Amino acid sequence: MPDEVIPDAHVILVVDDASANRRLYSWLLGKAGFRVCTATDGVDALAVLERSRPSLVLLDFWMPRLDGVGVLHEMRARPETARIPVVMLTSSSAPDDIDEALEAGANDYITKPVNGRLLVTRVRSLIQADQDREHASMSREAESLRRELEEAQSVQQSQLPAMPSRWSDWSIVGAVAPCGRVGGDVFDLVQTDDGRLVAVLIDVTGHGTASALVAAETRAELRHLLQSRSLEESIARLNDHVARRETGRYSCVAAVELQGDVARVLNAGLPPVILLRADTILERVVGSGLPIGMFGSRGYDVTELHTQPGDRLVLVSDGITEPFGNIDDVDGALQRLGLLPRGDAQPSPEELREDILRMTRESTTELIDDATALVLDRDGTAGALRLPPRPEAVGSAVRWVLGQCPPWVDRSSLDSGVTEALTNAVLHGALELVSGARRAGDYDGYVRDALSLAESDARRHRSIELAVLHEPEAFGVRIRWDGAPCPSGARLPPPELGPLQESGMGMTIIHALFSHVRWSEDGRSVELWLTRGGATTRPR
Amino acid sequence: MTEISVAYVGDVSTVRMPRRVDVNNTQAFVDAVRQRSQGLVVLDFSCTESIDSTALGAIVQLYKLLRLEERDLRLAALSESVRRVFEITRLDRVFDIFQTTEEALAAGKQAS
Repeated sequence: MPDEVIPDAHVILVVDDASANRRLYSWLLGKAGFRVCTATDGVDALAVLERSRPSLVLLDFWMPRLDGVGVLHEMRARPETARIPVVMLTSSSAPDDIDEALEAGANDYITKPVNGRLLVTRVRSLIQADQDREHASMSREAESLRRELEEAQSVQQSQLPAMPSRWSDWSIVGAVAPCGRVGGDVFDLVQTDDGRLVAVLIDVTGHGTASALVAAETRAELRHLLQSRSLEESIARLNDHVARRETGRYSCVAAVELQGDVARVLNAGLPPVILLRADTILERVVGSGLPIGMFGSRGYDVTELHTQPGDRLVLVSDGITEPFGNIDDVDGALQRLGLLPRGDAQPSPEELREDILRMTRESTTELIDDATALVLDRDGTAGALRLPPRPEAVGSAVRWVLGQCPPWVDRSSLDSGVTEALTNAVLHGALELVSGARRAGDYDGYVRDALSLAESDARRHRSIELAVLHEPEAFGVRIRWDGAPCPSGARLPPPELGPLQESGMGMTIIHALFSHVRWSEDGRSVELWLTRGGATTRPR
Repeated sequence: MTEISVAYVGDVSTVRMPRRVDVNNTQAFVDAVRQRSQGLVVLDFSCTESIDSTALGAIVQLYKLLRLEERDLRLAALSESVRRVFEITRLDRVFDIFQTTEEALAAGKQAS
């Protein structure tokens, strides 16, 4: 038995014209765990090397037809054999042969008669050294490639806008999960000088470094174009430029341009851009035009969507939908990502990224494409209404609440209670009305002040947010306003009213009509709850 | 501003209250009563579905003013929800509340 078996045994080519020697060396090397092939002279050796690649050649110096040095010269001249280690067998009585062999490129020599143990040791150490050298060179290359990719990754990450981001009353969060270190998915937020915000997601075909380069260039160019052009015109121009370059790569682009309540959506080749409210998908925008760079001179359509507080817009790359087989199934993808229905909280960028990775892992063992999601949330919870702090807005806001209450609710109580609370929010909260007039007993002055303040420009930007809250056995209304908080004393259940008292009635009404009144700590928000079966406090 | 109708029968003014009596029209109804009423004032709530505390405060103010002039203020034809708001604020104990305007007028005649 060989004392050590080299796994995946190395093949040694033994070249000697004496068959006894070939047998001896073969036996020695075989015993040490090597596989051996043989050649009878130099010409034969070169022929063997044509069709096989041994780990080492044991080469006799003196041979007919072509001697060892001749073979060496030939081997070192051919790229495919130049690096194979060679041990030359020389006569101990001819030291010049050794010099000649080493000069010709032999890695080592052994003098005849051959010492078996020495032969095996030399062969082993040469093969080991050769392997080490090869590994070192490979890992040096790999290491430098890895470092380059890491740098590219950090450059690409730094080009993404900071997340989460705020614009007007929108909160924006996005995350990319590249399948390699760098990828062909990027997103961007472009704020134009004329007051628009464009959120864009770009998915370049393929992935890896080349796609990343195209994505970076596309992004930079679009950024520039958007400054002085509409969304659709910018995309059309971008398409012309990219098509002319003929890189063979094209980009799918989805973009949302926000201006006031209107979201203008363009989608060239990505899964549907979604507008959702609470648990309902209201709009899906697809097919505004061909992907960027396929054909020049193309037009792009824009779909105008009207948004409300509480709405959510979602842009995704096909890496989000594709693992599940249906590129258009954004509904399923959004549910899996926890983005549908829209809850009160927006995920952080890290959470969104984790959700994307988790979701794609559920379908495949590894990411096969970059997966990106960009989420734009308009402030306000689901089922919320924003109204200006004007007395005229109270009536329609109350109707809005009545339209959403469950059937067991006493509608006239709810009407009176919400009217009262909203009126108080309008007068005292949003308007910061200090009812000096009321304290002075001048009721006309008080009402006049309230009405004139409601008209004033200074209050125009203030708003009251109204939300309905559904629980299995309860229905709630939350009223939140900016402006002055309700003083803490006034938040307590009111004491018994005296006869002919003109103030304090509002809170008395509110506490009497609702099962439960819950104030926020800052005194700018109150929740009014009705519980099913729980009778409201009836006057005694 | 909402127009509030006032009807006169002899020395009695009947003020027709709007569907919602709130901060939007409180000023209009206060003006109507102060400028256009005479004698006994009956507030007719037969069309009114809801009322808020601003309006309640104003009604209390009017009541006090009319008393200074030795005039009377009566409320009539309150819907259940409006009556409830008066009950909650205990104002039902302050005001004379009648089922119908006719009853309010009849009572007024008796009182005077």
